[in-house]
Amino acid sequence: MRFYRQQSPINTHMDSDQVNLVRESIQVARLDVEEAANVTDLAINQIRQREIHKSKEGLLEKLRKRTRGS
Amino acid sequence: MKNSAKEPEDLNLQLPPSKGKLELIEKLRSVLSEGSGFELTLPERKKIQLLVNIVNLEDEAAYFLDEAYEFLQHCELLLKNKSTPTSDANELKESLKETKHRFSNVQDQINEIDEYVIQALQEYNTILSNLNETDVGRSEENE
Repeated sequence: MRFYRQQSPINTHMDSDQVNLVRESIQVARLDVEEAANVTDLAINQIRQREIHKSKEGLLEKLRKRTRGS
Repeated sequence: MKNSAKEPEDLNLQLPPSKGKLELIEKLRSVLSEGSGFELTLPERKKIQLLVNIVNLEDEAAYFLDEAYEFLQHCELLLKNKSTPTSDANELKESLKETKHRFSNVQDQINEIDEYVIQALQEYNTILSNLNETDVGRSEENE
């Protein structure tokens, strides 16, 4: 008589280790996303600063023209 | 900035490509460096420096989002393919959904920053081309 080893069914159930792994991974992803958000805020701040510089230049140019004209 | 919340199923990593942009930024960096031959006024210098900063920050933000994406993809697959105890499943699915929404919002912001950068670089590209042509003209005159 031949003995066939019974195949174990594919484990589709998440054990506590896997649950913890997923939980920890989501937390890590969340931290990365928040880090990206912080850096993005800094970039937006630099854009604002750059736009202020541009408008200052325009305003100064207008003032110079007026001064020359007067 | 837009605040469009997408459904978790729609999550895709769609960050702006950096090809071409980095080359132009390198050009601008060289313009800023001493001995470049470009005479810049202080406001011009400041504007270019700010643009270089913006591109660096954009790259850094994209890097963090790229890292997050891989984690989220793995988590999503595990949660889809395996059954989870109900108490954990709700918590994990909700947490994943929130993170993905946040991800999408930040990604939208990065893409908007990129639009700004591309527009600003295009302005400088014309200026740089003109400056290069002028330099070529000058050197030809000197010869």
